[in-house]
Amino acid sequence: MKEASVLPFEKESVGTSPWRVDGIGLVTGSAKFTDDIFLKNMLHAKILGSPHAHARILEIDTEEAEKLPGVVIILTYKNVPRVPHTTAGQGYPEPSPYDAFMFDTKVRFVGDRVACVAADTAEIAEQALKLINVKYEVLPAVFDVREAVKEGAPVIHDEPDADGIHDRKHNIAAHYDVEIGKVDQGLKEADFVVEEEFETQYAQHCPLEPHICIGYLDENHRIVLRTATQVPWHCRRIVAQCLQIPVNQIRVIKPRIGGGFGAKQEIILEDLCALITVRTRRPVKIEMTRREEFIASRTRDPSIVKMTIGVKKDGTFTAMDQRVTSWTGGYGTHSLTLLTNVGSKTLPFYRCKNVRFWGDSVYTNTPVTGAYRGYGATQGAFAIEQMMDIIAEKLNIDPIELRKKNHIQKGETNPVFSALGEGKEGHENPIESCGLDECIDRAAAAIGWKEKHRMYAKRDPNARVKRGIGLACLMQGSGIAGIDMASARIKMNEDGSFNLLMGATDLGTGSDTVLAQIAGQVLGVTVDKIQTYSSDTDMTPFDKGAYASSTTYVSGGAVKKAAEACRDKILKVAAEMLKEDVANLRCEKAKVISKSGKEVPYTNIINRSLYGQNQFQIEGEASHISYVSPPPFAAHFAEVEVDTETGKVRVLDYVCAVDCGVAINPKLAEGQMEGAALNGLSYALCEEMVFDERGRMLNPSFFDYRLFTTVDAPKIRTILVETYEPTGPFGAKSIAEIGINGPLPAVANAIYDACGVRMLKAPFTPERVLNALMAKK
Amino acid sequence: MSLHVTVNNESKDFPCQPTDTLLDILRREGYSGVKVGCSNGDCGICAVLLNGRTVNSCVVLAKHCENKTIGTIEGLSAKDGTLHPLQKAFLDEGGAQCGFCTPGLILSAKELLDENPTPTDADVREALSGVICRCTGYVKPIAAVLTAAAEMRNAAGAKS
Amino acid sequence: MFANVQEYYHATSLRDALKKLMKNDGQVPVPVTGAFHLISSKLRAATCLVDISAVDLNYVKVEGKKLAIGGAATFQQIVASKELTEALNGLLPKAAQAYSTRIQRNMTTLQDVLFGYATFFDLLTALLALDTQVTVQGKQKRVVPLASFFSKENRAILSNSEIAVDFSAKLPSGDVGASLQRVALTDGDAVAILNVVAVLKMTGKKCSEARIAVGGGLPAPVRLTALEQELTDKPLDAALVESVSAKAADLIQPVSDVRGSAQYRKQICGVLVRRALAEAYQFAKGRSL
Repeated sequence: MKEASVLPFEKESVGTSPWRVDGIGLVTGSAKFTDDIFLKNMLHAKILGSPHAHARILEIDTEEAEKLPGVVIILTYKNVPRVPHTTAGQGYPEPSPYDAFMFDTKVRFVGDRVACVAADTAEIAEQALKLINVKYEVLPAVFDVREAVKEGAPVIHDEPDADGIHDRKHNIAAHYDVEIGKVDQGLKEADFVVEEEFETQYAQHCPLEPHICIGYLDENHRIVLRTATQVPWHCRRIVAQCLQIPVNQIRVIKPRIGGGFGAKQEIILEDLCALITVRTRRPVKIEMTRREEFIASRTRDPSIVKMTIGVKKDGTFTAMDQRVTSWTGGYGTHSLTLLTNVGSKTLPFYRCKNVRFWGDSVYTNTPVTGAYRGYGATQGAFAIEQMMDIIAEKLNIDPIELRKKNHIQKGETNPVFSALGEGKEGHENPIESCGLDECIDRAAAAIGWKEKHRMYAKRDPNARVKRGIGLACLMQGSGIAGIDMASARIKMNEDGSFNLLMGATDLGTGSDTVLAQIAGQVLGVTVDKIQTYSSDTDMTPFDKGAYASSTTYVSGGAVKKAAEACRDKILKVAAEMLKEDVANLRCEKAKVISKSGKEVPYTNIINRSLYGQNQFQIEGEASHISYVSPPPFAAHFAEVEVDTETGKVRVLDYVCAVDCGVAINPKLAEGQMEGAALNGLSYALCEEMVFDERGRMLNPSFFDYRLFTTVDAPKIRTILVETYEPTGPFGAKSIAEIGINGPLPAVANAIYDACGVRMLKAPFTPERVLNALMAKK
Repeated sequence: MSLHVTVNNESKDFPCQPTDTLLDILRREGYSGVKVGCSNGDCGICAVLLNGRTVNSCVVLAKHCENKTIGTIEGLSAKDGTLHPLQKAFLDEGGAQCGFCTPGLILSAKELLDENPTPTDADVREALSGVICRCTGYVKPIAAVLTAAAEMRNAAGAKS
Repeated sequence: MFANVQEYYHATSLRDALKKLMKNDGQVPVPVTGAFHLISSKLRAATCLVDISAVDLNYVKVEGKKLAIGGAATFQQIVASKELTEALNGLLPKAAQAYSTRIQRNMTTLQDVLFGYATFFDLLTALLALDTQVTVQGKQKRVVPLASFFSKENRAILSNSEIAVDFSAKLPSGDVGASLQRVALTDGDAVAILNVVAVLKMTGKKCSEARIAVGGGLPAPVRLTALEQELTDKPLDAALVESVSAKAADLIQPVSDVRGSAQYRKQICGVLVRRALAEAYQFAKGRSL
């Protein structure tokens, strides 16, 4: 059913694609990323990482290293505060166990922190690392979640002062289960039951800018952390916690960032930087090498997702059961919420009275998993969207028809939303905008679904190269209901321009631009009249940070309100000047215009209010929080070619259609989909962190960890389907994550269509596909 | 020891150790548009033009560049700030997101267009294959290069 | 990086370079062509870097049937060579382009490939198939088959004081066709899971010369001489190609690594050999088998 797109406003700034407000710096090289400042007397710090996957530190001797000329300070467990905390950049109180320490007497994965050296140069710091003598008691390690939960498995977190771990003895960092209705009963009522288990792999975000932080004392001797972070406020709070100092003594500034994707929703360098700068009184830089970025920052959480669905002959579902076991790695950052998100983004998607979710997030002696675009929904979609195709085949109906028949629609809700939130009960979530059917129809038409499906069904069964086509339907969220809060402040200048100060964190996503456009739409000016400054804990008001697809929807909501408050002040002054009732006035094209025809330009208004009469600063400020999380919806279609003799899969064509409400900046919205989709394709076909039997990553470089470049990228077409989300700023929902969830299931479904093998395990490397083909024979 | 090079059409003498990489020297001398991505020659984030050819400056020995010509992103726009068509196209098409790989992509495109003013989609993909981008999916960067190529052809046509 | 290097020397001629490399005064000089991504392990002990990029070793020449590539010529020069594109239906540019990022091709040379012993390149498999001879200049000048760098028995290795100055091969003439087949995790991957090069010379219906080389997922590329013999002087048809290809897997000892298992490499070896022979035939005769 096509969503009528009647908007209650005229698109002026919203719905256009002006140059990014920060674009000039990016294309000319003048943009300053974290590393692009020069500080005199700066120290360089390097981290000594554990060579063992699981070991106790019996002794650390730094005497020889300290003697090396140029070494200024060495930190170990012996000389830092021991404060259990989580590194997860989440709202307080964080729904992750407090199981991390600045340095512990135990190491839990290869690359875990052992010591940190700060020296005059990076080379000296590296040399000093080699001079640190560590005596380890190597412990048995466990790498697979299935082994880690068994009786007698090595206990990874046995420290008494960790808090919030669900079941230490069985290495379960987090657990969640919930049932709605009666699933076992529902399965009995089914005409048939489909059950399958899926598994996804370790992968890394690979932001081209590795994690990096520069700390220094400002002229008032306060700590300043200039850091590549998605979460300035959580960073400030957690660093204060680790150093046991008040939040007031720290300022966090996010400069331009070279990509985050969730990897930088963590506090993994800033605590060290802050402590070193406090103790040495010198600036210090810590920058991860690419190898450290792979093994010692954060990764995608591999998951085993088992689904059981009871189906009636009429194509409806009587029961849906989802069991998830995820790797959290050495520490439990994001463990609970990644787990529940697998269910919360997939189980409410299709109508079903009886739904059950059960999940464990399990410690293993492997790299620490954390937030990564998609955040559990990626793994969930891999499972549920293949289940849909399996069911459609059993019913002998078109896979599109099965989905259209069962997916949630505008005006509906689902009890799963309240039962399964972000690690706990959520909020009711009535759907007020859903353009999924139009997404499906337009994407299907663009890729030629009907014709290709018909054509490929007639393929020669003996052909060596086979083509197929598949789809996936998706739902995500816009922010975390009832938790994510943002605020903004906007003030006016003499020339009718504005300064927009907001906490919202632009990781390169273009949020500065999108939010400026929202303000511009309210105030009737173009974005070049809006100077944005964001993500500085001293200068800009609070924002939760960039994650959970929340910036456009939540931060945008705050910006809209702040701009409206500012606009109201402009109108009030204009009313005085024009001697008219405010109700007769409106803001348009940098003027206030009256119904009577009189008008006064912004410049006159602001100059009167700054210098002339009844002086005050025209400005507005507001906070925003939403108690719903309106999902963006998407339909992805993939056409693939499978070489049945080598297993090599090529993606010939990829179409994604997305309903993100009103796209504030269409080009940026497309860019988000395209980048997410390509990341998902790469994850589906070739990205994999490979480990040896001692837990060491064998391919921690771009040479050996393959990801898609321009010669691998297929043609990707993006279709923006417009709906109007009444709870979003100018009808917008968010779009940042949903695109990465499509490729795994769409490509898997296409491979099945092409050659009859169902890929239950990612990535679909040539070897895995060939093995599946041979097993089928 | 010093290094004599021409950077962005300016003759320069930089202090230089025999072990310095070209990336070390350029960033030390303030060309911060040249970025550090992997320090292994794999990702193209540190790409610069060396005698007109893109190279990964992190694995090129600085002293190898003695008396050679180097082009960084900072040298692409005109002295008065007028953007090169590639830079303008990247802004028009939305080809830059986080921007970390943008200098590498643009310089790779420059090498291509200097050699081949009428590239196909495949030519552009091949030319940009040495720069890894995680943000854009490459869709708009490729579109930007093709747009810039067309515009440069028109401008050249208009001149002649 | 390279903490011991104290001197950077730009050699002005080959003789000048060799003189510097063979100096025996406690220094450890090492030849470089400009980038060190393939030879960084060799530079760790070096005290002097001898830059040979300007000693006239960066040529790519085809004179008649003789191909010559200088040790300091870049992979990109091979890709861009018009003559090589026209020879053997472009086998060598295609093989060099399999290292498919131009930025890396701009700074990768065969001297560095051999010195750093990076044996995975498709280009090496192709050069091996063409019986390439390598001229090595050191104390003496020696001309050795490229194959000698790869065979366990007489594995030649470039020492620090030598330079691989020239890579030459004779290009077969007549009804000739060549093919490169590879399977890789991504098209941008320099390291194929497996690569195969076949070169066929046909005289009428008979195959008068056959060369088959396999590389990528092996410790070093190898020639499948046993299979070449089975093809030589035989009338070539699909059945013969099929039966010969089926034996290919047993002739290689692939590795298991992050890109694939040895078992998988064996599984696809026969497939790639068959496809390479079929395509080479197609180019040689202008029609399919």
